[in-house]
Amino acid sequence: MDGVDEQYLEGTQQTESSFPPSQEVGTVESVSDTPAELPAVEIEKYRIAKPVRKIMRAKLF
Amino acid sequence: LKLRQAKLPRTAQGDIIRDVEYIEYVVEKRGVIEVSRIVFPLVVVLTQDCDLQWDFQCRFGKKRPATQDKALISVLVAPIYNADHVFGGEQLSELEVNMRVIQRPPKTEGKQITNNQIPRYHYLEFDPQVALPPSIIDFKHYFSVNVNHLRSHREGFVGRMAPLFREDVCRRFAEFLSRIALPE
Repeated sequence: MDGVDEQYLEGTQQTESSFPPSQEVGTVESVSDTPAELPAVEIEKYRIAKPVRKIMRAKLF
Repeated sequence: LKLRQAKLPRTAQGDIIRDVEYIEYVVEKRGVIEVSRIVFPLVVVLTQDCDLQWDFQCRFGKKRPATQDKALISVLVAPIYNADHVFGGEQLSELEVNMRVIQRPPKTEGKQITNNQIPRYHYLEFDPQVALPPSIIDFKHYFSVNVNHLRSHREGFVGRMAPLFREDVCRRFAEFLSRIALPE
C-alpha cells in the first residue's frame, strides 16, 4: 500500500482533527471481528490482578 | 462489550493493553541508579485516534511528510481495574494506597457507577467470550506512556473497543477533564 498522498498532506485541507486516508497508512496484520479470547490461565490472572510497584537498583560503572 | 482483534501496526484509540508500566521516578545517587515503576495490568488508550494515526504516518509511513510536525511525545492511557476491587476499595492495595469503599449495586452509589453516571468512572461489562471480569476505568488515574515504547509493547495487545464504545469512553474522559469546580 502507498503512503498518504503528499498533496493531501500539504494542502489546505490538513487540520489537526482530520484523519489521513486510513486505507493508505501502514498495513493491517490481521483482520477479524472475532472477540478477543485469552487462555484460561490468563483469565485467572486478570481476575485478580492489581497494579504493583517494582523498584530496580543498578550500579553505574 | 466485544473486543476486536484486528491488530494494527500502530497504537489506536480504544486499544486495551496489558502490563503497561508507568515510571514514577528515576534517581541517581553515588553511582547507584534507582527506577521505580508501577505495572498496570490493563489500560485503555485515550489519545485521539487521528493523532495516533498521524504520528504513525510521520514515523513509519511510506511517503513521510517533510517535517515531524505531527509526531506525538506520549500516549494518554487510563487504568482499567477489576470492578470488584473498586467496590471494595482495594484496587491499589498492592501500592499501599487505601481507596474508598463504594456500596455495591443495587445500592444507589454502585448503581450510579454501573450506569456511568459518575464522571470519574467508566463501567465496562465485556462479552462472555472476552476473558475479562466486569471492570472500571478510573479517569482520575490517567497517565502517559512514551509513544514508541507503547508501540513496541504490542505483545500486550488484548483487543480494541468497537468504535461506538471507544467514542463513548473518550467523550466521557473529555467531560471528566473539563469539569469546573464552582465555589459553594
